Amino acid sequence: MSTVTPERAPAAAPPRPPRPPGRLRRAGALLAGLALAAAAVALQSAAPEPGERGAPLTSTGRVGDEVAASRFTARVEAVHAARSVEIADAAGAVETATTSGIFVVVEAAATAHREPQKFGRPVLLSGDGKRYTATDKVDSTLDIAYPYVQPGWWTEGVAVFDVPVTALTGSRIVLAPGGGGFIGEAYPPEAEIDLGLDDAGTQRLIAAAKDVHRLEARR
Amino acid sequence: MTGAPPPEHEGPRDWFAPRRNRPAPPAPHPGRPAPSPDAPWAPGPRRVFPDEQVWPPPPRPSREEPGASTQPFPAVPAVPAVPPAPAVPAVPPAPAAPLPGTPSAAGAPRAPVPAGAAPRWRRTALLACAALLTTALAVAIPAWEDYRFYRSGNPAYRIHPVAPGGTGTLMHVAWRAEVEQADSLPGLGPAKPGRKWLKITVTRTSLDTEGVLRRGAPVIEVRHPDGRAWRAEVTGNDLPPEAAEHEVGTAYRYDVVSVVPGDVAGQVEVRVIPSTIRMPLEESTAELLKRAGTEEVEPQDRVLLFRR
Repeated sequence: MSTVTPERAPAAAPPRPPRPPGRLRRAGALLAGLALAAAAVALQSAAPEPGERGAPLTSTGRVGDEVAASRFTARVEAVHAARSVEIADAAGAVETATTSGIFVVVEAAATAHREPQKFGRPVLLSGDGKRYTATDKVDSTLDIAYPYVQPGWWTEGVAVFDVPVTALTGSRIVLAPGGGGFIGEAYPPEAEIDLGLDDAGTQRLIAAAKDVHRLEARR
Repeated sequence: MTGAPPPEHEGPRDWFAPRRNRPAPPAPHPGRPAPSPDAPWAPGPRRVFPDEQVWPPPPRPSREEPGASTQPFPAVPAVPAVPPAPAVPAVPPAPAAPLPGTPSAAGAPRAPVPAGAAPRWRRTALLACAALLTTALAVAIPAWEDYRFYRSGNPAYRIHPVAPGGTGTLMHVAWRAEVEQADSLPGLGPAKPGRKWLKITVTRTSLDTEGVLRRGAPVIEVRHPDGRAWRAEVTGNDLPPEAAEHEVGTAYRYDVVSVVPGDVAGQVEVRVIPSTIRMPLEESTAELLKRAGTEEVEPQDRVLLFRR
């Protein structure tokens, strides 16, 4: 045909003004699109896993530290080991709990920042990744999870765990408010306190383990 | 069919042969030689002619057909596809193909650019605004949904302050609160060092029958103006167990015990959040089940704040 086809035009006139910016812009747009897609993929990989979504926000510390979470501050004052635990209630009656493993008695204290708090059952995270809930062999009124933790003063209590001896090394205690509501709270606060049980510390704890650890009921 | 009358029998003639003294019929198409009358018919090369519209008469072409001109079309710039501005003169017809690079060709594609520049700028601004608006909506709508869900469990409290020693009236019930500090309470023993017991008495008086319907247990809080709150345990009340015995105008009492730090024992304030549940005086279980879910639930968000 006698018409000038569009394919011929750029070949015949490469330096025509409107063309090169269009090509550059197209390349830039392509690059920007690729960059955005790459950023979206990268962002996806940074997103929390389903298990991490709503997981507790953990504050960590060591024995003796005041570990502040968003709504409370907790402190571990001492860690004891015992082969049996004797509980004397207010009336003076004595009850003895025994175990084939070992009892870990953690003396803890806590205070709230604004509202009264109540802990859920304390958890011992062992060095090998297992979770042990506080034992129900001891009277729950002695438990740190029993009283309300309120602003203005420290509330003391114990957490007694019944664990195998092999679980002691590297273990930590986790204190978190009990989930009271029907709808679980997202990102609840929790305090994770290292009990300082490295290999030597574990040996010392086991060597110092009493045959009977006596707990006195309050009041 | 006009012509001289046919001469009769001038010789043997085929039925289909044209008459001898007649002028040869016009050739169906020019260019094809008319067959001589006496030559025997012989099949020529077959020709096919396209259909031609005869009725209605085809419109006369007003302009030249595209193929009829030897004038090449000028190259049409692909972008911008906007009509050139009126001020720009049309491309003058040139005898030869406008060579790219010549002033006429260089001027033609460039001419629409100033006219299309403003719309393109406006379009970019429009796109940016749309992107901003979409992003804002994409953030705001889920946030609003989450906020409403949060507010369904944590209502925005409406505080009704009550002067010290005064009476607060809310939802057909008059409320009073009295606070006593104590270092020791019977049955609870002495307070620990640095703390004080608070013995709180909250009284309610139904002002009318509607107030009797709203006899559900209130939420009672002990809170310092700085926001710190302490447990307030309701240890008992003297409300009649039967709704029918609940009298209008009679004060009923809730006994509350709390423990607060000693230095704020004179500052903490009692908050009473009355129940919004309406409990009919007499109702069978069947009626209750029929009523359940039909009433609109009032948010329990009105708070009586008893100043100290």
